Amino acid sequence: MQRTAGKRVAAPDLRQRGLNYRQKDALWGYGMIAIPLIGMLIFILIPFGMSVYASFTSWPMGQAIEKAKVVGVKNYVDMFNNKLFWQSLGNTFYYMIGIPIGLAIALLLAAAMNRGTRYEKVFRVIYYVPVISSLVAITFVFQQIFNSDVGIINTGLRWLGVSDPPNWMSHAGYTKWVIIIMAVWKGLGSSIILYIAGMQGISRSYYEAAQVDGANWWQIFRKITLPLLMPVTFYLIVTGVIGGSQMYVEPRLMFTGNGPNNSTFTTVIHLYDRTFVNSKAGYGSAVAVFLAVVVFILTLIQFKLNGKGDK
Amino acid sequence: MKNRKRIVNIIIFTLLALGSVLMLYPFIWMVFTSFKPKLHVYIGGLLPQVWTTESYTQIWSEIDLLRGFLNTALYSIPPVIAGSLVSVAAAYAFAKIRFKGRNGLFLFLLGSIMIPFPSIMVPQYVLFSGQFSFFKLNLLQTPWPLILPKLTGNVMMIFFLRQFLFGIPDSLVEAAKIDGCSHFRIYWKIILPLTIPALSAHGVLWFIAAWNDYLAPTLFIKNPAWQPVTVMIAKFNEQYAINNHVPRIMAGSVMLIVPVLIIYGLFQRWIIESMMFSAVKE
Repeated sequence: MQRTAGKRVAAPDLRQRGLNYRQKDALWGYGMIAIPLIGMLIFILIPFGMSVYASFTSWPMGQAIEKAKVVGVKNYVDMFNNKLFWQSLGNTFYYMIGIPIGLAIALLLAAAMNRGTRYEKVFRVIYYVPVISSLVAITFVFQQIFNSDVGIINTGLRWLGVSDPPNWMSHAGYTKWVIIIMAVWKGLGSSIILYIAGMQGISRSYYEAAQVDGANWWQIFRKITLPLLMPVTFYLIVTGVIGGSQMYVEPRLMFTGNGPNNSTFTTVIHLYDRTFVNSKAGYGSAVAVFLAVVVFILTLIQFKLNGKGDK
Repeated sequence: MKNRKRIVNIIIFTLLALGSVLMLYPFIWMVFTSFKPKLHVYIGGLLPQVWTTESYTQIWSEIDLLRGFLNTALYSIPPVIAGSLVSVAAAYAFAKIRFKGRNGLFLFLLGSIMIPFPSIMVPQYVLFSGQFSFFKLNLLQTPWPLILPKLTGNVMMIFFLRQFLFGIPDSLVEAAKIDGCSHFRIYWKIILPLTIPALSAHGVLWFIAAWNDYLAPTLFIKNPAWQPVTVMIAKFNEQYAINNHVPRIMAGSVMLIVPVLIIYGLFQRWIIESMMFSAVKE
């Protein structure tokens, strides 16, 4: 191939070698990205294709997928007619109340930790500890903390004069809040870090100009800091929603089964149980595809909003 | 004015300190409770009146914790190191080597992280269980399902390192090329040392995520001997939740958290700084 190229353009020796180098470069390039691409193909794309295909079949878990009968959109119809599915979806989205709550607290804490005083770095490290801790371990601790009879929360509430504190673990109206509180507590540190990074990216001159104009702390925070942190907030909301839509471990370990009155189980738990407990992998795949579509749409929204923020 | 600022600082410091107590209280309670006898859990305040290590001896005798830790280490150390090396190579190629379709392939790769794990876990399970006509190997009895996917790199890491490498002048690579370095040599001798600080921070975060992983091991590891410590302890804890043996449950949680806490303690500055740095990049 080199020879023909050389013949056609009658290139001098040097140019021929240049072409050669470029080809060699490209080969190295493809070689170095080959492993991640193959990995993506085997572990993500092909399985996802299978999920899509399986969602149109009546595939019992344990049987070969090639032999599963194609049933059209039956699984999706079943899913949309299933009260439990909607309940799991409702629970999953209910948990997301924690996202704005967590962001508001994180924003205030970040503002408090970004004043250039001593010990701030220590606080950042402390508030980040829950982020890196094992969710499994944390879940068991919070199960005890929220114990209705003897947990520290209710002991504290009684000490404060609440004679009949909530039955956190067994009353369907409160169970979700145990998980929300835990999720907020666990995620705070990471939102704080991102907010601080965002705040440090804001030019000092804005603040100085505002101070010259006589703006007070709250005005500066509302009119300068908050709008300029919008990209961080969007990022945190969407990653929070994407992460939240996949919630599994917390409700699974903290509440046995689906929780009191099905109050805590999530879409992923529904997917898992239908597939592995009830052996309805076709139906489970429909839920899996639905979940991916939801996450995809949410990600698109983030890209759209981010794009707007840049302009 | 100066005085007022000082008062504000003191108030904020106090609030942050109180918040720190809230952040750390569950851990403190967990540790002290794990040293209490079963019947003392809710009496006599935070500190144990009688200190006992019964829960720890119980957990060590009842489950093969050492094996669990070794399994977890097997799932979270070598694959993360190998996957990181693969990721650096890919990031280098995406940032510094010219080839056709470079950006398209990168976006393609990046797009894959949009697919959530629960949406692909069932086919992955099927793949690893060897139920296919074209892939008959049953890996569910082996440690491979938790190792193989990590070996092919981490897309977020590639994304981050690619951004990082864009900040390094091309002339550095060009000069090495003129000196006759192959791309592998450039990768190994120049790029890898340059990225080590950023790489190790991200690697540690990846390691921590792998260490704490629960859903994937419960699905893919069917041989109890290969279970990671998270699954072993979750089982142990669930078993003692029935008769409410709180100190044992807390001992289990302590065993899970302490190793990660030590690593975090060693790397905390790197981790926090790299988080802030990558946040700015995003």
